[in-house]
Amino acid sequence: MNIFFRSPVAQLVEQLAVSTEGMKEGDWRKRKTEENMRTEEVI
Amino acid sequence: MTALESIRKSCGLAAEAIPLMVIVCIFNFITATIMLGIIGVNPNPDEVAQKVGGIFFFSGIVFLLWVLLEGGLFSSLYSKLTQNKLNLETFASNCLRFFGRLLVINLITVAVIIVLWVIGAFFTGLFIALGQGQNPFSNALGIILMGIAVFISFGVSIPMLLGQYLLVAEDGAVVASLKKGLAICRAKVGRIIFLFVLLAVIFVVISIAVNLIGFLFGKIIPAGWPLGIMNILLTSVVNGAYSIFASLSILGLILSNLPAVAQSNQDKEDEIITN
Repeated sequence: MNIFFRSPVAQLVEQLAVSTEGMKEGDWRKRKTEENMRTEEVI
Repeated sequence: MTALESIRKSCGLAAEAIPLMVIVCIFNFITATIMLGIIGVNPNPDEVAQKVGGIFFFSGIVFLLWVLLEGGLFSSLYSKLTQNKLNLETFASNCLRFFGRLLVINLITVAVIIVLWVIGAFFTGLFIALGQGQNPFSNALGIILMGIAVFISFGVSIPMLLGQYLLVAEDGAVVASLKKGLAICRAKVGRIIFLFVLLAVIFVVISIAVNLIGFLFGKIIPAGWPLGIMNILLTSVVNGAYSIFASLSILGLILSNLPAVAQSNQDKEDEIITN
């Protein structure tokens, strides 16, 4: 029941997964923006 | 008893089940504080990979401890609903008494959910790959399939959850309790779904309030361990109170409908014998 209604332990793991994914996504976007800027400079 | 009556009755009984809420709250607080110690207050995403083993290992320990606690909690709730007393003196012995059987039901539930999610993820991946990730139709179909798999897994876990309560209430065997859980779900599907919907609505409202309070804490308390501990304390109290309230509602609904389900099964058996 506790797990069914999200225990604080499950919430911590969830938050970690979300923030890690978010940071990875952020890194990916940052890299993509930098690549685009470099391409534009070359053009 | 209907779903609404069950919720109303639980509201009255919840105040008398505070010792059980305190037990769940302490369990939540200790385990979540240890988990915060493992994860760290400000985890660096580059270091998460090194912590995955520890997180999995400790999650497994928390799962086993929770199953151990379930036997005592469910039997106390059963005593409260049937004899109007919590019988806390037999709490520890009931934890051990039901541990093995509850563990089997929990493991079956987890296995079924994992299998359904893997099947869902496989077909989601398959459809997205078929459209090479560029086709919006196949992407949408893939996501819908995953949603269906998650929905089915919830549907399957409900009779299994009811089976856990019945196992403790009737001191039954694993398979017999699961069958009975399924029989109740079939016979009273409307009431059970309505109860879970009501509990979900209450849960969403509480979650919004808790998140808002957590946000305000974030503005007042400095980031780091003090804020982490305050958030754990807040969620532990809310989860402890809510899980006991929800368990009381579900167990109350099952127990009140059990005689009707048994009678209808008996009638079916009699009909088969007569024919």
